[in-house]
Amino acid sequence: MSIRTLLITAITASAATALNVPGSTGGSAISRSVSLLQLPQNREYIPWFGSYARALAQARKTGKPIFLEFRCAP
Amino acid sequence: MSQFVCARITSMAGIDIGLFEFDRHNALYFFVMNADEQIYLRYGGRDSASATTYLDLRSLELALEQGLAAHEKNKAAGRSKKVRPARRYPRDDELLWRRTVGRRRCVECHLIDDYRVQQLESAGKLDKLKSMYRSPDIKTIGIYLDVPRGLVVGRVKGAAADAGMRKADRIVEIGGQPVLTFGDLQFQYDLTPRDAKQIQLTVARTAESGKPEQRKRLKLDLPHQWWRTDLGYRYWSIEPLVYYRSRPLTEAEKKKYGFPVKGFASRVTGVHPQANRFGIHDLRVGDITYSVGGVQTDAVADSTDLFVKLRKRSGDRVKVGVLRNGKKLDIHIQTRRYRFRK
Repeated sequence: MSIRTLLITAITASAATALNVPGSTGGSAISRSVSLLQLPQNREYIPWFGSYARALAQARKTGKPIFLEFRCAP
Repeated sequence: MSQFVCARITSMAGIDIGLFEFDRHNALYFFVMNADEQIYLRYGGRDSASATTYLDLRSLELALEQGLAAHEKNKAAGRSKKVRPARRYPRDDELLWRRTVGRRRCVECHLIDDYRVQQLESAGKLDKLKSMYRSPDIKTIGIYLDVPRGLVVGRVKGAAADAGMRKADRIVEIGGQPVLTFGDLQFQYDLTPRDAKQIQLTVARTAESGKPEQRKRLKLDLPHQWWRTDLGYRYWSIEPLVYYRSRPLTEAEKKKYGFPVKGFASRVTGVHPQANRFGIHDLRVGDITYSVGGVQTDAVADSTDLFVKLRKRSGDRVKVGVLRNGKKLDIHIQTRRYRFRK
């Protein structure tokens, strides 16, 4: 799995959720990543926070753990 | 992923870099943590061969499961906050402030390390071995992970095998610190002093079927220069820049040319085009370099370019002994600091 593929899959998955795009059913790396990210059947929106402070606030509000990614802007 | 609050940070301005410490030469790096800023685990890490050696969707999935389990355990235990590192922000570092934050430029991850190294070097406080050789490779001590299975050992040899590590062991601690992922392991391993002779690893081992896992503490004798890695992928962050590469001569070659067997004589294998253009030096591919400022041996360096990087400072002008077409000559190198995007 190359960095490029990982980036593409992460972007595709979040874009798919954001845009309410139906998930892929094929056997590609992208469809596997959508599966990994558990894209809900009801197309539940999973926001990606660009602000660390807002993510912390949301975690406090919901009691959920934070999945925090550091990377250069694509 | 709906079980997490997901955040993607693309600029380090405003981020507590004291808390989120990691080798900035990772293209991607993840943390699983809670709202109290308690870090459960890291996901990331690399080797010199590739940025993606240890990035794998199955191991990421495993890490996320472990992160959720740690979070539930933490909530159930009602544990108090762990002691956290002192807060430190990019604006607190003079060079980062002057060249990025203060100019409203992106605070790129690699700049955090690059500027820190520059400041430490200027202050005469730089531990060059540690700053150059970050993220030591666990393969050097004989640990080959079954990457999709996280910290499960796929193959073992060398120091790890000698210490009793076995295939299918799962690494759970290093130096007494619990680790859940390769990112955790590499981060803790990197904290090991470079003059250490031994490290302690704890592995979980499945005994016979039906019996619970057993934990074994293993003491690994670290081989000579266990921390050493190929610096190629971080070339532009290793200063001073010398604008050539060389490979160490073999023992037979050193004897043939009359150089000390324990010396750092090396053959030039590549010269950067800017070397001639900017008058940095006149080395040519095929030259044999055998001394720097009259010195021919070093405890660590096995090539002249590495000797300069280890023992000289950016801007130093050094005299290199060269053997070219059977004739000895001296060539001066004007070392430089990397400017682009700094």
